[in-house]
Amino acid sequence: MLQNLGPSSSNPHSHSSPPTSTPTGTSPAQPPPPIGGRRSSFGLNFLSNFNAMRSNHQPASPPTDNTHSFMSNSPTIANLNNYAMSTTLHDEAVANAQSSTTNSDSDNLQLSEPETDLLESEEDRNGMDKDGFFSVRLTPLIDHSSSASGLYFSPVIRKIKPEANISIGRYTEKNKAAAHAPQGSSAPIVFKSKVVSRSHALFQCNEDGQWFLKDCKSSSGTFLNHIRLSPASQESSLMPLVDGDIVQLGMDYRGGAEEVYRCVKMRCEFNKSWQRKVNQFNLEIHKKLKNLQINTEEPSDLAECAICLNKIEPCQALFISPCSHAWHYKCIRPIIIKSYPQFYCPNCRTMCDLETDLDEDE
Amino acid sequence: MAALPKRIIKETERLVSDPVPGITATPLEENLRYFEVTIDGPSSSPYAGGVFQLELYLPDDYPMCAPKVRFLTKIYHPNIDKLGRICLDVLKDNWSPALQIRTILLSIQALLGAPNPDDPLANDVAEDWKKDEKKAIEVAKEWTVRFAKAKLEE
Repeated sequence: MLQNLGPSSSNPHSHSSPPTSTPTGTSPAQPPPPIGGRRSSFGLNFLSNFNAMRSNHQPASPPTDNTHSFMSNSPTIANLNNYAMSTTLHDEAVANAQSSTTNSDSDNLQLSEPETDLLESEEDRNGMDKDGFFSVRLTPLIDHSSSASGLYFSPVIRKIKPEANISIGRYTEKNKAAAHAPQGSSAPIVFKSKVVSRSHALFQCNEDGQWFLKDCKSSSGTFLNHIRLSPASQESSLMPLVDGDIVQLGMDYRGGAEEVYRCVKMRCEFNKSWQRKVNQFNLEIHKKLKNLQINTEEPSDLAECAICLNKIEPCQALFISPCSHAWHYKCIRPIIIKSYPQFYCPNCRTMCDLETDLDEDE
Repeated sequence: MAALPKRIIKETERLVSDPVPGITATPLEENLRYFEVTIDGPSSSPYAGGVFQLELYLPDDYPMCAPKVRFLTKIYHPNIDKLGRICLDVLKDNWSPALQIRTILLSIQALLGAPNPDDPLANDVAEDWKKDEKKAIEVAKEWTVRFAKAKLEE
């Protein structure tokens, strides 16, 4: 990975001087990565309940599952994942020892295990979905601990074919339709903010599922991880993006006191549509949580709370995220309220929307 | 001083009971939030054979914010500056409270194995690295012998 190092001192991911606050120490590797850069795992896989879960019913086999395919494009993190393997194996041994007491439970789960492969194969390595689309999901970056909050908007999901573009611009009478386009369409992305130019920027995706961002001569600028891509009214080059990047359109005008003068700050997720469907892991956790309430005699093998490191036990107030990670409510609360209704899972770094309609599916 | 959160006690215990190969972290008796750390250079890197000393401090709002970590041993690396400060995403914006002391130290060890001159902290080193990687690696080896091995032979 290190050899095909990307270009440019203008790369917004690199620092030109020792930074006071690193905008992104992130994304060490900005080279357009061969695989659709998924930074989502971050070597956190081995921390999350995921592996601990799996280990209980896959005693003999090492975790050859998605831990690899989810691997990020950052060399440091990629390495970490390798390191993590050994740790995981060790932890598994421990987990296995513990789980021998809860056989009945793991037997149930074993039956459904093979389906996992089906779920995974729905999407290929690049993150292309089965219809040949790549996806982007934009969620407003909310931080209630800061006074300068950007424009609030409902999360936007768009899908495009390789080599296609999606334009990003201001909401006008002419593009009204785009504002109401269904999630997952290829419609332009529009925002009701006056600091966004009519033709502000665009997303592009190449054949490998690598996404790019370009400023299209916007007057108030496009920022990638806090760094402006081009001066006013000048087009920028195509900047490679990675999962989790923060994009800002324009700057607050008149202090952003009025909603329409607020800039748009959003976190981008790429090619993760697989994560939004119900998967085996979600089902298993759901089952385990049910057992947690009913069967208080058997020790629960639900993993510990990643924040306080204590076990999750009956009669404790819990919070379970849409990605099926669980913590004590008390432990996770600061993270929930910080960016409500968006929730950024500390275990798997999925962005979840806590205001999602509850009757949406089925 | 306020009582030490249980999480820190737990992490400390686990660092002892289940140590990470090639990494040690020992809290000071007088300040259990301050750790003396050593990391072995990864074997396939120019830092192989070196033992690097670091300091790690857990701020008051840990684990809601990242530990502060700094190299004490001089090291020639594009992402580590003269003062030992480290440029690593998980120590800054990408910190997650699900990470721990052990995972952060593993990340740092991984950073030694994968220097990234395109996201530099030490600009001079990064430039040398980009201009002539072979030579830069030689210098890194030399520094490892001079600063990270000398200690061992004392």
